[in-house]
Amino acid sequence: MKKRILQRISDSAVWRSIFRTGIPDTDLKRSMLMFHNFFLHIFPVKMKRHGLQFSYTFCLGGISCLLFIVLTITGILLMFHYTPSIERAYFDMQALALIFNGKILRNLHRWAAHGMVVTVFLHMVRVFYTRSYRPPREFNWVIGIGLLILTLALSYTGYLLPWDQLAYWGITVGTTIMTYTPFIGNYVRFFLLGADEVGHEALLRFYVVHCVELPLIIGALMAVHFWRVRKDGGISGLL
Amino acid sequence: MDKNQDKVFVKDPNKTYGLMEIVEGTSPMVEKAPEDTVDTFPHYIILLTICSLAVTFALLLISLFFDAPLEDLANPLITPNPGKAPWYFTGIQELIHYTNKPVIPAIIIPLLIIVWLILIPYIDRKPLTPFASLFNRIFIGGEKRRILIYLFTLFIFGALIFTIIGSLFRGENWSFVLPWK
Amino acid sequence: MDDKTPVEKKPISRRRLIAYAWIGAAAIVIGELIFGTFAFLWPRRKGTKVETVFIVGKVTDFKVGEVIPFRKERTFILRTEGGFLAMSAICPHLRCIVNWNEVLKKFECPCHGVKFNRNGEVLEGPPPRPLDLYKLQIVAGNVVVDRVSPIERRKFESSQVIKI
Repeated sequence: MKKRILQRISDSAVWRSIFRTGIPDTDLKRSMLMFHNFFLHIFPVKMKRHGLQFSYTFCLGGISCLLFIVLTITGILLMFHYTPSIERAYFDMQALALIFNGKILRNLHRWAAHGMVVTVFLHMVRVFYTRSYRPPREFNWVIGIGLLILTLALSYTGYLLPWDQLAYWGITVGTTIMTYTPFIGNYVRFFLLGADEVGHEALLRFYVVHCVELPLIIGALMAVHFWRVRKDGGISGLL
Repeated sequence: MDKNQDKVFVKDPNKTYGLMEIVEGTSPMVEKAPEDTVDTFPHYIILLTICSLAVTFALLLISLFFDAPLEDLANPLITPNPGKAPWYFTGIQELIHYTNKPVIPAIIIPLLIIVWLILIPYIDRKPLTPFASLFNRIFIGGEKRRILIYLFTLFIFGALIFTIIGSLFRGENWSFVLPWK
Repeated sequence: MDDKTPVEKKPISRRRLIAYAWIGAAAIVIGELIFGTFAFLWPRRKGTKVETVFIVGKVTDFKVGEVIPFRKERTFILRTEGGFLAMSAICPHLRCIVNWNEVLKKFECPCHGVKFNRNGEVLEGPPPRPLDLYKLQIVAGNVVVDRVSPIERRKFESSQVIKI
């Protein structure tokens, strides 16, 4: 009975128009399910058994990606209650406590950000010790380093947005360090902050960079990173 | 791929056909050696779902019980004491406090580390010329890459130690304190 | 030398020339786009100026050897034997605000553990130079400080003290 209902649903025209394959009860249908689905097609149709073991990759890259997704969702939600101006930013943060789930969303965003810095770094460490950067994967390692730097940049630009003491002095010290770069140091700081000191211009700039620019760049690089993992032979050797 | 295949199926040159091998499975495998693969759809996708749910759940628990810090309103006139960078930069801040030239720990060392990290896959290769072999012996340390592993481990532990000292063992005016006191 | 080895200059072909022209045009367009983006994002210097001059107080208000912090203006006024010194409270190292420790008679920076003596010279820690000076004037018995441009210095000299 249950099976027949499932069968009816999966054979219906609507289901077929969305998912193409019926109930995946044969190998062919299982492969087609992976192959014809936009979200699943980044995975191979078949995998080596040892690649499924936890200790093979420790899931670090996957967890980083998951945390990025969590950060995107919570970040977009938080943007609805945030104004990037020095008069309102801090009080918007305080007001989050009064909003249903506001505090939890902020906590999720903050802890996921810290977690992502950790997992991305550990992912690099794992790839180094398993020597997974060898040809043909050299360039994917370079993209990975880029992703690590972008993760740090995202975390750092987000640090200013609450506009509390921690944020203000963290950014003041960090951007002053840049002024010690030979020749262009002062211009770099002036360009980043939009003024001589951390103020409204800096908050607006960091907001745009944190919410739009860097996520777009990191998203594009992530796509290339995953694509190359597949093209360079998957996680566990050639298939 | 071809090499592996030859090991498994020894072809008789006098015949145009040959017995391959009888392997348990639900579909025929053509022009492939028997391999230990599983279908991604149930096996991997289930693991992926479990792992994602576990991480999300753990994150939710942490967020329920630990609040993200929010200090006083930003005040350009008073620096909090101690004024700390975010934890992933406290290692650099700790290094800065040792020298009177911030450009070295803050710009030059991170840049050098990044360049070195990017170069790792390009220097860890099979040496083809005598010069490359010498280079390999200095920076990689042979097939087992002893020197590279040593350097990388040093980098990780250095970063770890300075970050821990900077974020836990530094108190007022950046003086040394013990976190449990 | 030139007449012995005649240089045969091949005339550039028409295809080549047009190809070069295209590449050049593309380079100019891309360069302009990049330059334009940066020029667009380059911050505008603020037109409205913040008031930089402030009156510290009467000369007679200060005791000799005293260091008075002015939090709002981020300035320290030092009254020495002969006169006054106005120092910026912004640490020349990484722009944290230094505090005056009345007990130890030292300036302390909370960010990297720097100590300055009362003249603003570095005692210990990483800063590259002593605390910056502000222009100080004594007008009709009042001490007036202008914070418009801090003066960087190598070390403390008695000529920096503004005599009464």
